[in-house]
Amino acid sequence: MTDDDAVVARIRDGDPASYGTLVDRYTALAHRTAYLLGAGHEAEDVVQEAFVKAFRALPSFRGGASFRAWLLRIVANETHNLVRSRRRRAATELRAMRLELVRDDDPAARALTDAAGEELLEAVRALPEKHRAVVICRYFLDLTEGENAEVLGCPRGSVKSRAHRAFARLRAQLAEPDKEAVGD
Amino acid sequence: MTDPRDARLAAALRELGDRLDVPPAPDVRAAVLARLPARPRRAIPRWATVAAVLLLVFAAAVTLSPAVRATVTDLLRFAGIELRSQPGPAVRGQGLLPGERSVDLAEARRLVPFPIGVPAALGGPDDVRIADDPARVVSLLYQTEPGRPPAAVEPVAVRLDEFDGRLGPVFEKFLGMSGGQRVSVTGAPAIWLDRPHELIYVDRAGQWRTETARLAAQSLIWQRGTVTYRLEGAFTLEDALRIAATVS
Repeated sequence: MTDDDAVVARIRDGDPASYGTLVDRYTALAHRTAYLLGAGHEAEDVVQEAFVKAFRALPSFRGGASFRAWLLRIVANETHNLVRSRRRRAATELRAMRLELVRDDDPAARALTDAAGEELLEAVRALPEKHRAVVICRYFLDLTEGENAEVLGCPRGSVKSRAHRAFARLRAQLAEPDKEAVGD
Repeated sequence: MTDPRDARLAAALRELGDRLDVPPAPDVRAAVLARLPARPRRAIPRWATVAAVLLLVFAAAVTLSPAVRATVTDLLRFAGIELRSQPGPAVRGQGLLPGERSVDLAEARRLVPFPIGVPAALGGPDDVRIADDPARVVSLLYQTEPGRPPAAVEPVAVRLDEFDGRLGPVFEKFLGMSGGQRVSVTGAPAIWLDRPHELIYVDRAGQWRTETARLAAQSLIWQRGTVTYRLEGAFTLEDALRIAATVS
């Protein structure tokens, strides 16, 4: 039994205040997830909503499963819905991308790291949404492949193949000298 | 990922992740706790914010734990459509219904056991589809043209699904952050879902047909007599009500 399972058990036994422990534990990760997947300044609303929904849906949470991945899936879905409805309402900003680099104050360090970073970031921004989500979950959120699959609600195989295609696209975009033909 | 170039790219992405500008996480603890019901299971579900079960409802109906069974009864059923607040299934294909095929209106009227309503505001449909065998759902499809809402699912601007609402659930809808609202269509209770949501077909055996999952646009659902109507399009509530009022 993990720590999370113990907390979930306490809540099920009628102690909803214990949920605060899970909220504290996962707010930062949930917020980073929502923000990077495109919620932007509405990430806080998404996180709050996701925690409330997760609580209500707790009876369906199976002990032994990862609460963290289960919660992030709700966060990812909320974000997805938000981005879609936003896109539908205001047809202006199609890519609600919130991917920006932290600015380094030291000009020398900035010059060294920014050029390559910006280029790679630009390539990530240009990925189709599904591929981008896989890259964000795997490398920016550091989720395992299994968690990635659960969070994005698709089989592991799809995560693998999307990651593979994403890499091919990224390489093509970055035009590595030794890149091979990209068959998509 | 055994390719060394992949390993380099992976490392570069990880490093990039560390340098992304993400604002500090907010403290949502108090706000979340203030919004929690006394227990995870709501005694009286507010519609469309119903705690629900993931995947288990029908597939594992025999082995439901008491906790899960309690949430099943929490589901709100409205005229053959179940609304769930949980994340929907992944949308993969085109979301065609099982056996969905084009027929003409007269043929459709012959095939389904309920009267088919046509919205006078839109006139004759551009396409009529029936689904399942024997036919269970009739869909009237209207393409985009001036005066109609923009295409919700290319090239369809408005879709009106009709089915016998006395049967068990025919569709599952998965709602996102906001729910919907109770409205009325010429006096009949109706539900307005104000944003895109996942929609899935439930067959006669009660099985969720996950291959039918698709993202549905705003929808208005109401029932008249025994027929349930599901009017879908990228329109406002006012437009939907205006069209719905002319279905006869």
